[in-house]
Amino acid sequence: MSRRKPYEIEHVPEGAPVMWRSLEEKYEDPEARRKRAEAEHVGGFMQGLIASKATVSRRGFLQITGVAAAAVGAAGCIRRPVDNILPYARAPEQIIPGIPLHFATVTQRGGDALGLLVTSHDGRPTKVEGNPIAGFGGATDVRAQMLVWDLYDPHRSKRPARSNGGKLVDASYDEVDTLLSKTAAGLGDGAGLRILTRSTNSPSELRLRKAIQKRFPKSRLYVYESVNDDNALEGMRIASGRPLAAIVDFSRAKVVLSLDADFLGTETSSVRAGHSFGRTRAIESPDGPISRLYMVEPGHSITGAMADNRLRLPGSQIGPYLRALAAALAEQGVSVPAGYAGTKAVPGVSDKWVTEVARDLAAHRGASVITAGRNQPPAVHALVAALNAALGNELRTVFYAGSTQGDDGDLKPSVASLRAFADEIDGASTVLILGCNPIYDAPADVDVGKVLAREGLTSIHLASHRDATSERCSWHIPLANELETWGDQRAFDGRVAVQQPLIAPLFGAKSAIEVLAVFADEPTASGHDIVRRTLDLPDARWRSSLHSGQVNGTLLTLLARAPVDEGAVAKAVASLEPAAPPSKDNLEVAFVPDPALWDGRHANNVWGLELPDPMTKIVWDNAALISYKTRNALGLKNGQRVRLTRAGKTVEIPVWAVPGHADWCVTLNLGWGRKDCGRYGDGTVGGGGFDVQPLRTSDAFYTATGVKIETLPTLYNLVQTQTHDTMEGRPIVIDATLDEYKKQPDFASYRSVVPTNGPLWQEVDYSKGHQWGMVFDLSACSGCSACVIACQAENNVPTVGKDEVDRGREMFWIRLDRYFVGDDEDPGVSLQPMACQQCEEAPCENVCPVNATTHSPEGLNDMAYNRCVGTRYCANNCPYKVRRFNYYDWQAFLDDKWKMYGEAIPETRKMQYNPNVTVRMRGVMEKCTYCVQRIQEAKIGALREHRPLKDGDIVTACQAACPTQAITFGDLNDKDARVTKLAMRDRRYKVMPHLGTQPRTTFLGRIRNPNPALGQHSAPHGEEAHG
Amino acid sequence: MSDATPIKAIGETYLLPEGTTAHDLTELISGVTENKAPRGWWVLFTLALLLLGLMTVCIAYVLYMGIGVWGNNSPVFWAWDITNFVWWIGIGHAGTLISAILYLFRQKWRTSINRFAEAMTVFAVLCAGLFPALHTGRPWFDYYLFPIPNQMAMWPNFKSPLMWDVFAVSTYLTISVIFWYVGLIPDLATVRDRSRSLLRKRIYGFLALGWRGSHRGWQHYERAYLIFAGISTPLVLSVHSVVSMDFATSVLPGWHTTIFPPYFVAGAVFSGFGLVLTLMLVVRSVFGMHSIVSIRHLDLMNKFLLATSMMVAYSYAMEFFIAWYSGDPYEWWVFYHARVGWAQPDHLGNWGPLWWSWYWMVTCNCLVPQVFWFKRARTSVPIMMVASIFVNIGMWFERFVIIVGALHQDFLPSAWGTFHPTWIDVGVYLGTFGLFLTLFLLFVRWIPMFGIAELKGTLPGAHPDLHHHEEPSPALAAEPSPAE
Repeated sequence: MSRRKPYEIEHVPEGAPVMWRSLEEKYEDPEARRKRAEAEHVGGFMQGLIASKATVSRRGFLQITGVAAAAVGAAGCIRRPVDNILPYARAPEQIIPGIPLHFATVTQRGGDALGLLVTSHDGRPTKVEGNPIAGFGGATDVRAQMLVWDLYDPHRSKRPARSNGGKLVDASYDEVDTLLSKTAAGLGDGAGLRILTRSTNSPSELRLRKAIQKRFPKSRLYVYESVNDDNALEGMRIASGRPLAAIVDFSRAKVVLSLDADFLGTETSSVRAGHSFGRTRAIESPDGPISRLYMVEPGHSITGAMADNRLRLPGSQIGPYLRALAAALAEQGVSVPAGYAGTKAVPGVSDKWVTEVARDLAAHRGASVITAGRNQPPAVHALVAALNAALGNELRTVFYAGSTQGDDGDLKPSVASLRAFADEIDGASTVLILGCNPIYDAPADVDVGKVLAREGLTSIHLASHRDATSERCSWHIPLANELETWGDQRAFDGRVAVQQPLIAPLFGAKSAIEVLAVFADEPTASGHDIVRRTLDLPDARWRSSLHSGQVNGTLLTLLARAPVDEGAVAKAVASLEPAAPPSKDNLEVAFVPDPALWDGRHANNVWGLELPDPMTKIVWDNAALISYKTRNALGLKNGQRVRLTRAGKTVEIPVWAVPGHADWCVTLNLGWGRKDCGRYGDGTVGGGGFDVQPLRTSDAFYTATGVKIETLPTLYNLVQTQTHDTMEGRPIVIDATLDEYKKQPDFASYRSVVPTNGPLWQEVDYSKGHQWGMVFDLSACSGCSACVIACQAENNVPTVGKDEVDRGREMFWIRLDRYFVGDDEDPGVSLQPMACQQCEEAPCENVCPVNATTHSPEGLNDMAYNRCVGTRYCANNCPYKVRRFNYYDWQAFLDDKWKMYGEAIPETRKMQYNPNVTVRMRGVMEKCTYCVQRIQEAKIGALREHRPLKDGDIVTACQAACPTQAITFGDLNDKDARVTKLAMRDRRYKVMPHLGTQPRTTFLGRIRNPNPALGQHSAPHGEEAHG
Repeated sequence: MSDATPIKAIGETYLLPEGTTAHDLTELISGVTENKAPRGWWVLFTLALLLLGLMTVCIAYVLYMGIGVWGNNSPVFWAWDITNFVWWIGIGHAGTLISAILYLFRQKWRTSINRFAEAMTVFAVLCAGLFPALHTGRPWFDYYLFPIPNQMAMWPNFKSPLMWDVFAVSTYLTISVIFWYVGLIPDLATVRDRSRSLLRKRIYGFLALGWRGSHRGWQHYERAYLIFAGISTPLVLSVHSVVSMDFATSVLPGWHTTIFPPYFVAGAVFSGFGLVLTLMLVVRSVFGMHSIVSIRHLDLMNKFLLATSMMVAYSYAMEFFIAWYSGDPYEWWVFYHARVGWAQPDHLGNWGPLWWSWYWMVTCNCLVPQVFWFKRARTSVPIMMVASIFVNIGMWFERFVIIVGALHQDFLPSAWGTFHPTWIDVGVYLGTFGLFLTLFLLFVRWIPMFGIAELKGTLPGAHPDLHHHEEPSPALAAEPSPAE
């Protein structure tokens, strides 16, 4: 019988139904029942607890009081936060706590758009991926991965502000709304209205601009973008009369000539380019196709690192080189008008580099492409278009599309537009600055500050931070992040995608279209309504567009032909004459966007600040990049400060020598040295870089010539994540030329030999179940570093700050190793993503005294953070040095060290964390897990659907982000899995296999396809280990 | 020659000066614990307390902040912490060697230094033990390393050499303490018997465990001492062998070496003798113990130093030979580039960033002790003082070279780094000297610092055949005492 007190049926109301459990119970004698209960617990159930009278002795009383006092004291120690828990009164549809949701959205990339798929945990966007439907197989670039941090940036502007005696004081949104509507109402014909905005490919914003133009016919609109493609558009205007955008389909190109175009890194739509280019590099077999990339550039970009033949050439000589090439193409029988051709004697260019490249291009008509970078003048772009047409590449490898950024006539170059803004300011009463920060990034000779300081001018600035421009404006409105506002974007190929918010604006910010809507007299100023009115879709299509991330039926609407006006091109290229090459007193400076911070808009993004520059591996700073020869000729040291002077403008910045940089040229990364971006980027936590904008005038906006250099005596500490640049002859990144590959297809495993004798002990049988493995194709890896940030965002990998990176304590779970091979001046570059190799015989596991790192049955090298005491022996014994140690409590380290927020870390910092991954505390070891949380998620998903796990169900964060698909993950026991097939390719090898570690990660040796007639990079396999 | 042969007949002399009586020894040695401490002791003790305070502050800071306050990084995950650990553990070995092995070999001269060396062992192991306990990322979970049954069903990994370390070091500490204490019992009884104050009587009486000096007691005592010497002897070899396996069992070039166990033991004895010598010279002069620790003792110890230095040098040479013979480029890199430097510069012509540490090591450990080929150096206090300090420095660098030197440039050049210590590194290391010296100075002040009973055993009067064979020897008495 149960020990529960018998159920007494007493006082049953008259007529009430009697409820009973059994007939025995119903008809049992109540007395018998009482007795039975008594027998079970003598004295009744409450006997021991409630005594008839207090029997507590003095001693007992003191004992109890003491215990109670201790208990109260102990309870006082455990502070529980006061929290009001409110259940959903009405649960939102689809939200299951703990199950993330994915929303399709989009982000702007110059004139192009990048489809995104954002993971949201309980309403918090935590991770950005590429949209596999509307994007490029789910790939993204570095900046898309950084977007989440921008959203949660604790130094974002949190409320509107009004200028009061030159200082910003907080204002309310009500005030702002009143201001906007009042201003709009009082503008009359708009003669006093000036709008300065960023370029946009949002159909809604373009529609609103037109509406404003209609409502205020005399208002003026200016578009300024610090990093822009105006040269390319102007070039196309010359060549074909329309500012068309060139879309290169690298997947069809066998020969690519890139003229200063870092199309895998910093050029517009690098993900699009990487996606198509990667396919031509991942050679399947010695007979498989592989493209050849010629790169001509002044600096050393990651595209240059991918090049098969690379020529370092000052940017100003690239035009003349192209004309020389045009002449050589004509000799090869390509119908090139005589006006294009120029002298073949270009300083710094050997005759072969003209004739052989021309021969190769001519031999691949229709399967080749020439592309030029944004720093090249319009004439070069025009000539590139003309030569592509002459080579028959149009509609084969290069396509043209009408601008996504407005009608052809509306497109004006940024520099001219900003200059006009400054020049035409007379008569203005209201200035709207939407998203721009011209005080920081305007050309040095356009004094926007003076414009904004005019008497009686109401300037309204919409910006994510209270930046330098905000401080000079009369009003500041917080700008919403792309993840928290409605919008739309049109991609180069014409696809329109809806930008849907993942979260309500954290601090109640506004988007540019919401501000414009007030002036355009829209019925409602909500972003959602504006976008819906623009797209005008029925509900079902609207919903399906939101779901897929693109509006169906908008594909390819912009494609256009680009008939070449030969005369105009010939006229334009006449200016491309070989000039005197740069020299000691006449340096040439190229301004390039930073791979992470871009033009400075991500300047407070800690992930971006700590992302190693792909080539220099410098973190937290930028530097003036020069060649070894230049550095030595000037007697400089790395990190030595110099003063660059041109036309009375100066920049002081430390130098850094990059192998393969053109002599007497300087590359300056934009986006650094912002003192107005928040406390991470402004140098508070160390680094922060150097503002190079003062040297950037409107006549030298992309490339500045005639720059003088002056050596300063002081050194600046530039910090790198990788300080040793060569492999010292070790078989780490193994590459071969195509010829060598053909001769010996297993060249890679031949150099990196797997020992035939096994370990002394019984090996684990890994032939059953899932056995996870990864393949890195070094032929395809471009070094863009998207995987690094993707991993950081997915796995809650902390940033540690400049000082700690200097100590060698960076925490990246995946890093990109960069080695230079061969000559100092013209080196080859080898890149290698390096993460935990998940060794089957892992050296780290044996040595852990507390079993904190052990092997899973699926072949993963697991970390039990709770168990780790932090002896660090595992990391010592790891041959790949991929284990990372929490020397401090990194998650709050920078904030604590620099007293960012007083007591508590703001909630927004915590909102970014992926709840499926432990946030590691101080003193524990961590490392790549092959995204074990994603493996589990996929396995659970498959289990719920009663199906076996399919190849491709699990995509690791790095793999998803990779534009060139260099990373593949899967089950090595699945014979049909892509990873298994790749891991069996003939150019497979493992790193350091001679140690008997049996890594699960396989590398595919890199194949270089240099033109034999031009010579080649000295590949590392020529030199054996030192002896 | 049998033990019964008169000492003169084999050309030896007694260890202590002619005419020393048992009473002299008792007076001299017990006197230290009874008389006021000399000024030198106070000076040293103040210094020791200051250093101890520094250690306390530094350790508190490490515990509060995390070991990030040290210079350790990636790839140099172990640096001064483990260097200091191995160094201190090595120091201890001389004590065990002197007290146990030399005892078994009936080296009577050990009696002048064994107490001293044993105490040094115990304190050195205590200092050593601090580092592994402190160097973990989460020291409050250090107990995970012990096989304690617990509700979390956690069990340590017996495959890990660090686990072996835990056992080796804790065994070593236990045995050393017991061995030391057993040796102390008769002497504590002597001090007890001389006590005037009740407190002294109580304390020393408690510590002497009721020692009465009966024949039966002595018989048992000698037996026990022999057994403990027997137990300790393998520890001399095993402890540092196990410590060396922390490195030898890894895959790292420069660590993965089979020579490490004997190499480490030789190095440990070497460094231990170095520190015994340094301390001995100081204490001898502070307390005026010239008669007990004579130049002859020092001469013998210097010979030991020379011998172990040669062993260490041989190990160094053998490491190079094996590295060369293996043909392994990674091994070559460690030895030729990171250590020697000029033998294999990198592509920029640089030597390894820490090359100087190897030169320190070789100079201090292999070159400096060569002066002891000369009797004049072996019997000169200033020279041996300087040389013994060099040995201590050199042996610290040996561990630094092994640990940091191998870690900072291993397999993948992309991950290479270097190491810079912080002030906290220095503070904790110097601080352990404070701990060591404090304990040591308390020891010399309150505990008989030489084995009274054992020393008495070396007096002529203790020789069973004295009266049959002994003849007064004017030559012995006239032997000049070498200049000091």
